[in-house]
Amino acid sequence: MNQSDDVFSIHRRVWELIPWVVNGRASGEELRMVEEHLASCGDCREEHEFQTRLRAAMSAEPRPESQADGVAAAASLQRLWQRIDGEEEPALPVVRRRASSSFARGLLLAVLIEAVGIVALSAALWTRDSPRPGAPLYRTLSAPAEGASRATIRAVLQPTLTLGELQALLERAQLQIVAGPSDAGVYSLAPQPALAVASAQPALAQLRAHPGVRFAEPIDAARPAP
Amino acid sequence: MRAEAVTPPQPGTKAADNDRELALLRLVAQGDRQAFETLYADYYRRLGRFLARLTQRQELIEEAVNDTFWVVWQKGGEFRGDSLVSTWIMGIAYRCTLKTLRRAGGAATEPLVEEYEDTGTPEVQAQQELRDWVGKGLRHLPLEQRTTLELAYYMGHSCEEIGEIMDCSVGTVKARMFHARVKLRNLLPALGGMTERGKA
Repeated sequence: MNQSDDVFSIHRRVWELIPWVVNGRASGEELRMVEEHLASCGDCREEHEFQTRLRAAMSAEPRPESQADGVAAAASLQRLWQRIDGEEEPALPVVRRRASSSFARGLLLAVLIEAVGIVALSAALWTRDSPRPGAPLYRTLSAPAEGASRATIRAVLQPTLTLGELQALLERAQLQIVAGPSDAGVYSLAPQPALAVASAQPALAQLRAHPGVRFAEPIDAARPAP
Repeated sequence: MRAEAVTPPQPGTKAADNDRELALLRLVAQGDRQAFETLYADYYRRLGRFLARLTQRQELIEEAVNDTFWVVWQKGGEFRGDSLVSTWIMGIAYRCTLKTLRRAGGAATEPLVEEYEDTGTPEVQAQQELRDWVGKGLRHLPLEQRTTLELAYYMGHSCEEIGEIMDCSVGTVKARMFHARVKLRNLLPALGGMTERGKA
Protein backbone atom coordinates (compact mmCIF):
# COMPACT_ATOMS: atom_id res chain seq x y z
CA MET A 1 0.00 0.00 0.00
CA ASN A 2 1.49 3.37 -0.96
CA GLN A 3 1.13 6.61 0.99
CA SER A 4 -1.93 7.93 -0.88
CA ASP A 5 -3.71 4.61 -0.23
CA ASP A 6 -2.94 5.06 3.46
CA VAL A 7 -4.35 8.58 3.47
CA PHE A 8 -7.46 7.46 1.64
CA SER A 9 -7.94 4.51 3.98
CA ILE A 10 -7.59 6.72 7.07
CA HIS A 11 -10.03 9.23 5.56
CA ARG A 12 -12.60 6.47 4.98
CA ARG A 13 -12.11 5.07 8.46
CA VAL A 14 -12.45 8.50 10.07
CA TRP A 15 -15.56 9.32 8.03
CA GLU A 16 -17.11 6.09 9.29
CA LEU A 17 -16.16 6.86 12.92
CA ILE A 18 -17.57 10.39 12.99
CA PRO A 19 -21.05 9.48 14.38
CA TRP A 20 -19.49 7.50 17.24
CA VAL A 21 -17.17 10.39 18.08
CA VAL A 22 -20.15 12.76 17.97
CA ASN A 23 -22.21 10.57 20.33
CA GLY A 24 -19.23 10.05 22.65
CA ARG A 25 -18.98 6.29 22.13
CA ALA A 26 -15.71 6.06 20.14
CA SER A 27 -12.74 4.55 21.95
CA GLY A 28 -9.83 6.73 23.06
CA GLU A 29 -7.70 5.43 20.23
CA GLU A 30 -10.43 6.08 17.66
CA LEU A 31 -10.96 9.55 19.05
CA ARG A 32 -7.26 10.38 18.74
CA MET A 33 -7.19 9.14 15.15
CA VAL A 34 -10.25 11.22 14.24
CA GLU A 35 -8.91 14.36 15.93
CA GLU A 36 -5.61 14.04 14.14
CA HIS A 37 -7.32 13.60 10.77
CA LEU A 38 -9.83 16.42 11.30
CA ALA A 39 -6.97 18.85 11.78
CA SER A 40 -5.99 18.35 8.15
CA CYS A 41 -9.23 17.33 6.37
CA GLY A 42 -11.84 19.99 5.63
CA ASP A 43 -14.40 17.48 4.32
CA CYS A 44 -14.32 15.44 7.52
CA ARG A 45 -14.46 18.61 9.64
CA GLU A 46 -17.55 19.70 7.80
CA GLU A 47 -19.11 16.25 8.17
CA HIS A 48 -18.28 16.27 11.87
CA GLU A 49 -20.05 19.61 12.26
CA PHE A 50 -23.04 18.41 10.27
CA GLN A 51 -23.37 15.30 12.44
CA THR A 52 -22.90 17.33 15.63
CA ARG A 53 -25.78 19.59 14.62
CA LEU A 54 -27.89 16.63 13.60
CA ARG A 55 -27.31 14.93 16.94
CA ALA A 56 -28.09 18.15 18.84
CA ALA A 57 -31.37 18.51 16.96
CA MET A 58 -32.27 14.85 17.48
CA SER A 59 -31.37 14.60 21.15
CA ALA A 60 -33.04 17.83 22.31
CA GLU A 61 -36.32 17.25 24.10
CA PRO A 62 -39.21 19.06 22.39
CA ARG A 63 -40.50 20.30 25.73
CA PRO A 64 -39.61 19.95 29.41
CA GLU A 65 -41.03 16.98 31.24
CA SER A 66 -44.40 17.91 32.70
CA GLN A 67 -46.83 16.52 35.21
CA ALA A 68 -48.95 15.35 32.29
CA ASP A 69 -46.09 13.03 31.32
CA GLY A 70 -46.04 11.66 34.84
CA VAL A 71 -49.78 11.06 34.81
CA ALA A 72 -49.59 9.37 31.40
CA ALA A 73 -46.75 7.15 32.62
CA ALA A 74 -48.65 6.28 35.78
CA ALA A 75 -51.81 5.35 33.88
CA SER A 76 -49.81 3.29 31.42
CA LEU A 77 -48.02 1.52 34.26
CA GLN A 78 -51.33 0.72 35.94
CA ARG A 79 -52.57 -0.91 32.74
CA LEU A 80 -49.37 -2.97 32.65
CA TRP A 81 -49.84 -4.09 36.28
CA GLN A 82 -53.40 -5.13 35.46
CA ARG A 83 -52.09 -7.20 32.61
CA ILE A 84 -49.24 -8.72 34.63
CA ASP A 85 -51.49 -9.53 37.59
CA GLY A 86 -54.21 -10.90 35.32
CA GLU A 87 -51.77 -13.21 33.62
CA GLU A 88 -49.81 -14.23 36.70
CA GLU A 89 -52.71 -15.25 38.89
CA PRO A 90 -53.42 -18.72 37.45
CA ALA A 91 -49.81 -19.87 37.04
CA LEU A 92 -47.92 -18.07 39.76
CA PRO A 93 -44.32 -19.32 39.98
CA VAL A 94 -43.53 -21.20 43.20
CA VAL A 95 -41.14 -18.57 44.50
CA ARG A 96 -43.56 -15.73 43.93
CA ARG A 97 -46.47 -17.69 45.38
CA ARG A 98 -44.53 -18.16 48.61
CA ALA A 99 -43.55 -14.54 48.65
CA SER A 100 -47.06 -13.39 47.98
CA SER A 101 -48.57 -15.53 50.73
CA SER A 102 -46.18 -14.16 53.32
CA PHE A 103 -46.90 -10.61 52.20
CA ALA A 104 -50.54 -11.18 51.38
CA ARG A 105 -51.75 -8.26 53.43
CA GLY A 106 -49.23 -5.88 51.93
CA LEU A 107 -50.02 -7.08 48.44
CA LEU A 108 -53.73 -6.65 48.97
CA LEU A 109 -53.14 -3.12 50.20
CA ALA A 110 -50.93 -2.42 47.20
CA VAL A 111 -53.62 -3.67 44.84
CA LEU A 112 -56.21 -1.50 46.57
CA ILE A 113 -53.98 1.55 46.28
CA GLU A 114 -53.36 0.73 42.64
CA ALA A 115 -57.09 0.40 42.05
CA VAL A 116 -57.63 3.87 43.48
CA GLY A 117 -54.81 5.13 41.28
CA ILE A 118 -56.37 3.54 38.23
CA VAL A 119 -59.68 5.29 38.85
CA ALA A 120 -58.03 8.64 39.46
CA LEU A 121 -55.50 8.52 36.71
CA SER A 122 -57.82 7.07 34.10
CA ALA A 123 -60.26 9.88 34.82
CA ALA A 124 -57.45 12.41 34.43
CA LEU A 125 -56.42 10.85 31.15
CA TRP A 126 -59.92 10.67 29.76
CA THR A 127 -60.26 14.36 30.01
CA ARG A 128 -57.30 14.77 27.67
CA ASP A 129 -57.48 11.83 25.29
CA SER A 130 -60.11 10.99 22.74
CA PRO A 131 -61.13 7.32 22.57
CA ARG A 132 -58.71 5.25 20.55
CA PRO A 133 -59.68 2.47 18.21
CA GLY A 134 -58.33 -0.83 19.41
CA ALA A 135 -57.55 0.50 22.88
CA PRO A 136 -58.16 -1.92 25.76
CA LEU A 137 -61.75 -1.92 26.94
CA TYR A 138 -61.00 -1.65 30.64
CA ARG A 139 -61.30 2.15 30.68
CA THR A 140 -64.78 1.84 32.09
CA LEU A 141 -64.29 2.89 35.67
CA SER A 142 -66.23 6.14 35.88
CA ALA A 143 -67.60 8.83 33.67
CA PRO A 144 -65.24 11.76 33.02
CA ALA A 145 -68.02 14.23 32.35
CA GLU A 146 -69.28 14.10 35.91
CA GLY A 147 -65.74 14.26 37.29
CA ALA A 148 -64.78 17.90 36.95
CA SER A 149 -68.02 19.14 38.45
CA ARG A 150 -67.42 17.03 41.58
CA ALA A 151 -64.04 18.62 42.24
CA THR A 152 -63.67 20.17 45.66
CA ILE A 153 -59.94 20.98 45.67
CA ARG A 154 -57.47 22.46 43.24
CA ALA A 155 -53.84 21.48 43.66
CA VAL A 156 -50.50 22.01 41.99
CA LEU A 157 -47.95 19.26 42.59
CA GLN A 158 -44.20 19.47 42.83
CA PRO A 159 -42.47 17.98 39.79
CA THR A 160 -40.48 15.82 42.20
CA LEU A 161 -43.56 14.02 43.52
CA THR A 162 -43.30 10.38 42.48
CA LEU A 163 -46.12 8.17 41.29
CA GLY A 164 -45.98 6.12 44.48
CA GLU A 165 -46.12 9.21 46.69
CA LEU A 166 -49.03 10.62 44.69
CA GLN A 167 -50.97 7.37 44.99
CA ALA A 168 -50.30 7.12 48.72
CA LEU A 169 -51.27 10.76 49.27
CA LEU A 170 -54.52 10.44 47.33
CA GLU A 171 -55.34 7.26 49.22
CA ARG A 172 -54.66 8.85 52.62
CA ALA A 173 -56.68 11.93 51.78
CA GLN A 174 -59.38 9.74 50.16
CA LEU A 175 -59.26 11.81 47.02
CA GLN A 176 -59.12 11.14 43.32
CA ILE A 177 -58.04 13.22 40.34
CA VAL A 178 -61.10 14.17 38.35
CA ALA A 179 -59.60 16.68 35.95
CA GLY A 180 -56.32 18.24 34.94
CA PRO A 181 -53.58 18.94 34.82
CA SER A 182 -54.64 22.16 33.15
CA ASP A 183 -52.17 24.16 31.06
CA ALA A 184 -51.06 25.74 34.31
CA GLY A 185 -50.52 22.31 35.88
CA VAL A 186 -53.59 22.49 38.12
CA TYR A 187 -55.29 19.23 39.15
CA SER A 188 -58.92 19.05 40.20
CA LEU A 189 -59.43 16.61 43.04
CA ALA A 190 -62.66 15.17 44.40
CA PRO A 191 -63.56 12.85 47.27
CA GLN A 192 -63.66 9.20 46.30
CA PRO A 193 -67.17 8.37 45.02
CA ALA A 194 -67.97 6.02 47.91
CA LEU A 195 -67.58 8.84 50.41
CA ALA A 196 -70.20 11.37 51.36
CA VAL A 197 -69.33 14.82 50.07
CA ALA A 198 -68.56 16.21 53.47
CA SER A 199 -66.03 18.91 54.19
CA ALA A 200 -62.93 19.07 52.03
CA GLN A 201 -60.97 20.45 54.98
CA PRO A 202 -59.29 17.26 56.34
CA ALA A 203 -58.19 16.24 52.85
CA LEU A 204 -57.05 19.78 52.16
CA ALA A 205 -54.96 19.82 55.32
CA GLN A 206 -53.28 16.55 54.32
CA LEU A 207 -52.46 17.89 50.88
CA ARG A 208 -51.08 21.13 52.28
CA ALA A 209 -48.93 19.25 54.79
CA HIS A 210 -47.29 17.17 52.06
CA PRO A 211 -43.97 18.50 50.72
CA GLY A 212 -44.86 17.22 47.22
CA VAL A 213 -47.81 19.61 46.93
CA ARG A 214 -46.99 23.13 45.89
CA PHE A 215 -50.40 24.48 46.83
CA ALA A 216 -53.92 23.25 47.40
CA GLU A 217 -57.05 25.34 47.70
CA PRO A 218 -60.74 24.56 48.11
CA ILE A 219 -62.87 25.13 45.05
CA ASP A 220 -65.61 27.68 45.45
CA ALA A 221 -68.75 25.83 44.36
CA ALA A 222 -69.83 28.88 42.40
CA ARG A 223 -66.74 28.74 40.20
CA PRO A 224 -66.18 26.10 37.53
CA ALA A 225 -63.26 23.69 37.91
CA PRO A 226 -60.35 24.10 35.48
CA MET B 1 -13.48 24.20 13.68
CA ARG B 2 -10.44 22.91 15.43
CA ALA B 3 -9.86 19.27 16.14
CA GLU B 4 -9.90 19.89 19.91
CA ALA B 5 -13.60 20.73 19.66
CA VAL B 6 -14.47 17.07 19.03
CA THR B 7 -16.96 15.83 21.60
CA PRO B 8 -14.98 13.76 24.08
CA PRO B 9 -16.32 10.43 25.26
CA GLN B 10 -17.65 10.41 28.80
CA PRO B 11 -16.19 7.33 30.40
CA GLY B 12 -17.96 6.09 33.49
CA THR B 13 -21.37 7.56 32.78
CA LYS B 14 -22.72 4.52 30.95
CA ALA B 15 -21.11 2.21 33.48
CA ALA B 16 -22.64 4.08 36.41
CA ASP B 17 -26.07 4.00 34.75
CA ASN B 18 -25.64 0.32 34.09
CA ASP B 19 -24.71 -0.48 37.70
CA ARG B 20 -27.86 1.23 38.87
CA GLU B 21 -30.06 -0.44 36.26
CA LEU B 22 -28.49 -3.82 36.95
CA ALA B 23 -29.24 -3.48 40.66
CA LEU B 24 -32.85 -2.59 39.82
CA LEU B 25 -33.16 -5.48 37.39
CA ARG B 26 -31.86 -7.96 39.98
CA LEU B 27 -34.62 -6.78 42.33
CA VAL B 28 -37.18 -7.00 39.52
CA ALA B 29 -36.11 -10.62 38.99
CA GLN B 30 -37.09 -11.25 42.62
CA GLY B 31 -40.53 -9.73 42.03
CA ASP B 32 -39.77 -6.29 43.50
CA ARG B 33 -42.52 -4.04 42.20
CA GLN B 34 -40.99 -0.80 43.41
CA ALA B 35 -37.76 -1.52 41.54
CA PHE B 36 -39.81 -2.34 38.45
CA GLU B 37 -41.72 0.93 38.70
CA THR B 38 -38.46 2.85 39.05
CA LEU B 39 -37.05 1.21 35.95
CA TYR B 40 -40.33 1.82 34.11
CA ALA B 41 -40.32 5.49 35.06
CA ASP B 42 -36.68 5.79 33.94
CA TYR B 43 -37.49 4.46 30.51
CA TYR B 44 -41.07 5.55 29.87
CA ARG B 45 -40.38 8.97 28.39
CA ARG B 46 -37.20 8.29 26.41
CA LEU B 47 -38.58 5.00 25.11
CA GLY B 48 -41.72 6.86 24.08
CA ARG B 49 -39.65 9.54 22.35
CA PHE B 50 -37.55 6.89 20.63
CA LEU B 51 -40.63 4.99 19.46
CA ALA B 52 -42.25 8.20 18.25
CA ARG B 53 -39.63 8.23 15.50
CA LEU B 54 -40.87 4.83 14.38
CA THR B 55 -44.62 5.34 14.50
CA GLN B 56 -47.00 8.27 14.79
CA ARG B 57 -49.68 6.30 16.60
CA GLN B 58 -49.61 7.02 20.31
CA GLU B 59 -51.56 3.89 21.21
CA LEU B 60 -48.97 1.74 19.41
CA ILE B 61 -46.19 3.50 21.31
CA GLU B 62 -47.81 2.70 24.63
CA GLU B 63 -48.47 -0.85 23.52
CA ALA B 64 -44.82 -1.32 22.56
CA VAL B 65 -43.58 0.25 25.83
CA ASN B 66 -45.82 -2.03 27.89
CA ASP B 67 -45.00 -5.12 25.81
CA THR B 68 -41.33 -4.31 26.42
CA PHE B 69 -41.75 -4.00 30.17
CA TRP B 70 -43.98 -7.03 30.34
CA VAL B 71 -40.99 -8.98 28.97
CA VAL B 72 -38.64 -7.19 31.40
CA TRP B 73 -40.87 -8.32 34.30
CA GLN B 74 -41.10 -11.88 33.01
CA LYS B 75 -37.50 -12.35 31.89
CA GLY B 76 -35.54 -10.11 34.26
CA GLY B 77 -34.12 -13.22 35.94
CA GLU B 78 -32.72 -14.49 32.65
CA PHE B 79 -30.50 -11.45 32.08
CA ARG B 80 -26.92 -12.67 32.44
CA GLY B 81 -25.14 -9.34 32.21
CA ASP B 82 -23.53 -10.06 28.84
CA SER B 83 -24.50 -6.58 27.67
CA LEU B 84 -25.59 -3.31 29.24
CA VAL B 85 -29.07 -3.42 30.74
CA SER B 86 -30.08 -0.56 28.43
CA THR B 87 -28.95 -2.57 25.39
CA TRP B 88 -30.98 -5.55 26.58
CA ILE B 89 -34.09 -3.43 27.20
CA MET B 90 -33.75 -1.57 23.89
CA GLY B 91 -33.37 -4.90 22.07
CA ILE B 92 -36.65 -6.06 23.60
CA ALA B 93 -38.23 -2.71 22.73
CA TYR B 94 -37.09 -2.96 19.11
CA ARG B 95 -38.49 -6.48 18.70
CA CYS B 96 -41.76 -5.58 20.43
CA THR B 97 -42.10 -2.49 18.24
CA LEU B 98 -41.52 -4.39 15.01
CA LYS B 99 -44.16 -6.91 16.08
CA THR B 100 -46.61 -4.15 16.97
CA LEU B 101 -45.98 -2.29 13.71
CA ARG B 102 -46.34 -5.46 11.63
CA ARG B 103 -49.67 -6.14 13.26
CA ALA B 104 -50.81 -2.55 12.74
CA GLY B 105 -49.83 -2.48 9.06
CA GLY B 106 -47.39 -0.47 6.96
CA ALA B 107 -49.03 2.92 7.42
CA ALA B 108 -48.15 2.76 11.12
CA THR B 109 -44.46 3.40 10.49
CA GLU B 110 -44.80 7.12 9.81
CA PRO B 111 -43.01 8.89 12.66
CA LEU B 112 -44.87 11.10 15.06
CA VAL B 113 -44.84 14.79 14.25
CA GLU B 114 -43.83 16.36 17.53
CA GLU B 115 -45.67 19.34 18.88
CA TYR B 116 -43.44 21.96 20.31
CA GLU B 117 -44.26 24.40 23.00
CA ASP B 118 -44.36 27.96 21.78
CA THR B 119 -41.86 29.36 24.22
CA GLY B 120 -41.30 32.73 22.68
CA THR B 121 -37.67 33.78 22.37
CA PRO B 122 -36.26 33.83 18.83
CA GLU B 123 -33.36 31.54 19.78
CA VAL B 124 -35.67 28.92 21.24
CA GLN B 125 -38.00 29.19 18.25
CA ALA B 126 -35.05 28.75 15.89
CA GLN B 127 -34.01 25.61 17.77
CA GLN B 128 -37.55 24.28 17.58
CA GLU B 129 -37.67 24.95 13.86
CA LEU B 130 -34.37 23.13 13.45
CA ARG B 131 -35.68 20.11 15.35
CA ASP B 132 -38.86 20.18 13.34
CA TRP B 133 -36.95 20.39 10.10
CA VAL B 134 -34.60 17.54 11.04
CA GLY B 135 -37.63 15.52 12.09
CA LYS B 136 -39.12 15.97 8.63
CA GLY B 137 -35.84 14.84 7.04
CA LEU B 138 -35.77 11.72 9.21
CA ARG B 139 -39.21 10.75 7.96
CA HIS B 140 -37.71 10.10 4.53
CA LEU B 141 -35.37 7.42 5.85
CA PRO B 142 -36.33 3.75 5.84
CA LEU B 143 -37.26 2.40 9.28
CA GLU B 144 -33.94 0.59 9.86
CA GLN B 145 -31.85 3.66 9.02
CA ARG B 146 -34.04 5.92 11.12
CA THR B 147 -33.79 3.49 14.04
CA THR B 148 -30.01 3.24 13.73
CA LEU B 149 -29.62 7.01 13.79
CA GLU B 150 -32.05 7.36 16.66
CA LEU B 151 -30.29 4.71 18.73
CA ALA B 152 -26.96 6.45 18.17
CA TYR B 153 -27.97 10.10 18.52
CA TYR B 154 -30.96 10.07 20.84
CA MET B 155 -30.26 6.99 22.95
CA GLY B 156 -26.46 7.28 22.75
CA HIS B 157 -25.68 3.65 21.90
CA SER B 158 -22.43 2.46 20.37
CA CYS B 159 -22.15 0.74 17.00
CA GLU B 160 -21.76 -2.68 18.68
CA GLU B 161 -24.72 -2.10 21.00
CA ILE B 162 -26.94 -1.13 18.07
CA GLY B 163 -25.92 -4.40 16.38
CA GLU B 164 -27.10 -6.28 19.48
CA ILE B 165 -30.31 -4.28 19.75
CA MET B 166 -31.26 -4.69 16.09
CA ASP B 167 -29.87 -8.23 15.93
CA CYS B 168 -27.57 -7.51 13.01
CA SER B 169 -23.84 -7.36 12.37
CA VAL B 170 -21.71 -4.31 13.10
CA GLY B 171 -21.16 -4.12 9.32
CA THR B 172 -24.90 -3.77 8.79
CA VAL B 173 -25.09 -1.00 11.42
CA LYS B 174 -22.27 0.84 9.66
CA ALA B 175 -23.94 0.43 6.27
CA ARG B 176 -27.28 1.72 7.60
CA MET B 177 -25.53 4.65 9.26
CA PHE B 178 -23.67 5.38 6.03
CA HIS B 179 -26.84 5.44 3.91
CA ALA B 180 -28.74 7.47 6.49
CA ARG B 181 -25.95 10.08 6.56
CA VAL B 182 -25.70 10.34 2.79
CA LYS B 183 -29.46 10.69 2.45
CA LEU B 184 -29.71 13.33 5.17
CA ARG B 185 -26.86 15.31 3.63
CA ASN B 186 -28.99 15.50 0.49
CA LEU B 187 -32.26 16.16 2.31
CA LEU B 188 -30.90 18.73 4.75
CA PRO B 189 -28.09 20.48 2.88
CA ALA B 190 -28.71 23.68 4.80
CA LEU B 191 -27.74 21.97 8.05
CA GLY B 192 -24.22 21.99 6.65
CA GLY B 193 -24.82 25.41 5.08
CA MET B 194 -25.77 26.84 8.45
CA THR B 195 -22.43 25.70 9.73
CA GLU B 196 -20.65 27.47 6.90
CA ARG B 197 -22.63 30.64 7.52
CA GLY B 198 -21.88 30.34 11.20
CA LYS B 199 -18.18 30.35 10.45
CA ALA B 200 -18.36 33.35 8.12
